[in-house]
Amino acid sequence: MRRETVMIFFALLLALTPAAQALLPEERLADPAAEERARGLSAQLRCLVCQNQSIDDSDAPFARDMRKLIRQEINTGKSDDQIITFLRQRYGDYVLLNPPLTGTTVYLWMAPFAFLVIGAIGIVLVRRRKRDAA
Amino acid sequence: MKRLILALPLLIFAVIGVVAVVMLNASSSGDRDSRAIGFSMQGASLPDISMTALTSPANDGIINLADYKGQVFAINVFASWCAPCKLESPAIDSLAGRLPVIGINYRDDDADARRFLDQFGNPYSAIGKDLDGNVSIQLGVHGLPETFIIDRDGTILYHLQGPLMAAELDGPVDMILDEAGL
Repeated sequence: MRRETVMIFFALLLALTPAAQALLPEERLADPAAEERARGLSAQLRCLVCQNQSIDDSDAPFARDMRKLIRQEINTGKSDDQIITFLRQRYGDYVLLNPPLTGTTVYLWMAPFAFLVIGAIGIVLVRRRKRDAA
Repeated sequence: MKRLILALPLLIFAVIGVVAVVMLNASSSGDRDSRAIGFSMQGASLPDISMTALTSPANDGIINLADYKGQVFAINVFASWCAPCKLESPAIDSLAGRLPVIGINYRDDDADARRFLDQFGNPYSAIGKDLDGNVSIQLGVHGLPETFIIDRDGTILYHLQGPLMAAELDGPVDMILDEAGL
C-alpha cells in the first residue's frame, strides 16, 4: 500500500511537470490565430540539425531561425501550403516530420492497414476453428 | 493447421526483422553522412537576396546577389566559430582564384569574423552578414560550411554541404568550372 502511494505520488509529480517549451516569449506573434498557425506549422517541420525533433520542440538556433521565418511569412500573408512548399524546395521532404506518400514511402503508409487485414484474417480463422470444434 | 496459425505471427515478425536488417545495412553501407538530408539546392535558381556587408561597403553597405547575375560565381557560408570552415580555407582560396566568391557570414560577431579573416585570409569578393539565419534558410543551408556555384543565368550548378576539400575542388568543382570556361 505504501509503495503504491509513493508510486502514485511520483506519477502525479511527472504529470504536473510543465512541458519544456523551446519557443521564446519574444518570438510569439501578437495575433493569437496567426500564432496558432505558426505553432501548428512548426510542429510539422523537422529541425534538420537535431535528432528527430520538430522545430517547435528544439532549442537549436537553426530551429529558432526557422520559427522566426515562418512567422515572417505568415505576417506577409503566405498560406500554410506556400510556407511548406517554400521549405520543401529548400530542404526536400526530409523537412517534414510526416513523410509524404511517395513511391518509396508507400510501404510505410500501407503497413498498418496490411497488419489490420492480417489480424482480421487471423481472428476469423481462429473463431471458425473454435466453432467447428464446438 | 492450428500449429501454423500459432506460428504465423512469429513468422511474420521474423520476415519483418530480416527485411529491416537488410534495409538498414543497405542504407548504412557506403560513406553515407549522418548529417546528409538527401537533398540539395542543385538545379534550383538562386533566390534574390540582399545582405548588409561585413566588409567593402560598396552600394551603401548592401550586397545584392542579383548584382552578380551574368557571371559564374560562388557563395560560401561560413562563421568564425565553425571548425570545418578553417579546414576548408585553403580550398576556398584556390576557388577564389578562378571565380568571385561571395562570403555569407552566418550568426557571427563582426569582430570575431574579422579576426577569422585576418588569421585565415580573406578570399571573398564581398561578405554579407546573416545575423538571424534568414539568408541561409533562403539558400537551403542547414549546417556550416556550405558552398554554392551559380551559373550565369542564376541556376545553382553545385551545392556542397560540408567543407570544400581537395577531392571536391579537383573533382566536381573543376569539371563545372571547366565547362563554364573558367
